[in-house]
Amino acid sequence: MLLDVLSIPKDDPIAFTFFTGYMAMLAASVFFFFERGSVDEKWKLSLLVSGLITGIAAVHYYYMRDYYVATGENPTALRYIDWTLTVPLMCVEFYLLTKAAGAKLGLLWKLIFASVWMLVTGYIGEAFNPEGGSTSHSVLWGFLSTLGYLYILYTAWFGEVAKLAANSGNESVKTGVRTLGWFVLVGWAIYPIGYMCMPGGWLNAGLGWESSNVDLFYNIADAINKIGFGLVVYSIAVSSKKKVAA
Amino acid sequence: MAPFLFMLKPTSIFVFLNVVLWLLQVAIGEMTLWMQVSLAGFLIALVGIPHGAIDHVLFVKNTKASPLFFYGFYLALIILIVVIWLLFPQVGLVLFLILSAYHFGQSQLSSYGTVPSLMKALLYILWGSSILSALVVYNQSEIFQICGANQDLLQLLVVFQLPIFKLVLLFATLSFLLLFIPFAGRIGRKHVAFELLILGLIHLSFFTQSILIGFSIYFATLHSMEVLQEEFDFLKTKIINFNFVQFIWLLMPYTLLSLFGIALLLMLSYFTFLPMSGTLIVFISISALTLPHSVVMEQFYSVLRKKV
Repeated sequence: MLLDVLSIPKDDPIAFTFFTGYMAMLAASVFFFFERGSVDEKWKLSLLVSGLITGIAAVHYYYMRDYYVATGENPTALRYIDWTLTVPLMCVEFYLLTKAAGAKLGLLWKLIFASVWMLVTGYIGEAFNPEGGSTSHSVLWGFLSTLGYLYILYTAWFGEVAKLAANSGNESVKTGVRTLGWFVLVGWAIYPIGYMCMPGGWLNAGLGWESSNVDLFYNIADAINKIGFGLVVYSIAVSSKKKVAA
Repeated sequence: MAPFLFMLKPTSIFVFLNVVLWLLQVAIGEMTLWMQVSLAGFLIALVGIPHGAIDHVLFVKNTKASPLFFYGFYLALIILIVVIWLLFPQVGLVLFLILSAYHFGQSQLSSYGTVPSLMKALLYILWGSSILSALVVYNQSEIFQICGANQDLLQLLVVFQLPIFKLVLLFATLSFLLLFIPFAGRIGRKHVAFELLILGLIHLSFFTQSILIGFSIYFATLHSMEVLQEEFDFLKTKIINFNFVQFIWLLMPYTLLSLFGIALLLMLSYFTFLPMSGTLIVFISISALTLPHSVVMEQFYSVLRKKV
């Protein structure tokens, strides 16, 4: 592995972001694992999950980096494998943050199911899109995938998670859950936009938008969403500890 | 059955019709033009035309103006629009699109009374422009087919410039989102989320359905049915023991008159007594009714929101 020298084109921002994304995720994992020791007991599991999210992503980015540089193609399968593991873990964070406020295991399973539904249907829509792109295929699976996304969004903003956070009596949890809600609304929105830019997709067929740079946006979005998600959880843990100390 | 349908939320009917028709088309293929025209005609005749058929009642009840004044002003505006269409058809079309954009946006967003007035007008036109430009952008090839089918419609093609409509679509949609979302504090986050969802669903409908079907489903359900509900609720406050049957009786005269009038014009066109294609006649007829109807509804909503 150490003897394989990879040639990174100077004018290829996608390759650049694969490399930086891999290192950023790895560094974030190390940070979260080490910082786990400096937070209260009740937040240790949340930080562990944050570290796992970025750690799993780091491993997958390592392989996606090589795949992209070798083939120049979008590593669709690897991306969805990564998302199928990390996105449910992000949903687990919602449960862990509101557990003290009374979140039940049922909430956890509903969020996991919704996230897996979102990703599996999205994968079918993207990976099995007929040659040249099929609008009906893209719209059908995109619509089904969006149902899962809307469920998570609704739960975080208006549903069980939002209500539990509001009743938690902990300002850090309230602010944190609201911030994570913004990540889901704005940060995760890049993925359906990228999906709709695929051949036959809504933005592709309707507005002529191409998907040639979609990997660049996915790489940047992944880094912001996964590392940012973990940092929000970390800030909740740290501010809670400060309040207890005070 | 009719009262039950009336009670179903228009949004649910909108979603239901879109899903059923889309699945049908995926399963058995695209609808023929005749089927599309029939379905669109049915929806517009059932609820589209009736929603404007009691303008005379609403205007007189709200302004205390005499019926003579109402008919005078209504007919004057109709004649004005017809003249514009006959002399400058492209101008007529552009005016029609702008008026429709404002009117659609108004009926969708007028219930949010806490938004400042100037901002309201801007939001109405942005919302309406977003959906109308989407209708054009997503169905460009159909528009060319429709306009190319008749000599007198070819002159309208110059209005349907794709780059302009794409620009309008992006600008209107993004501007609406940027201006509307901050009102979540005043209106409530759930209402803002609901409106964004509706806007997205309308866009999706216009993208997946043909131009005729997409527009007629939106027009019949989210626009006309909602307005009919508002008109019915308003009249219940004005007329003692007002019920659904009385409402239908009120709607009938001018609904039948409008349908008869359009049918007559189409027959005259078919037998070449009128040197105009049926499609252009429909465009002009609907456009001519839109201006006076929009004025009446502007008045109606200003009274309605004062009560709130």
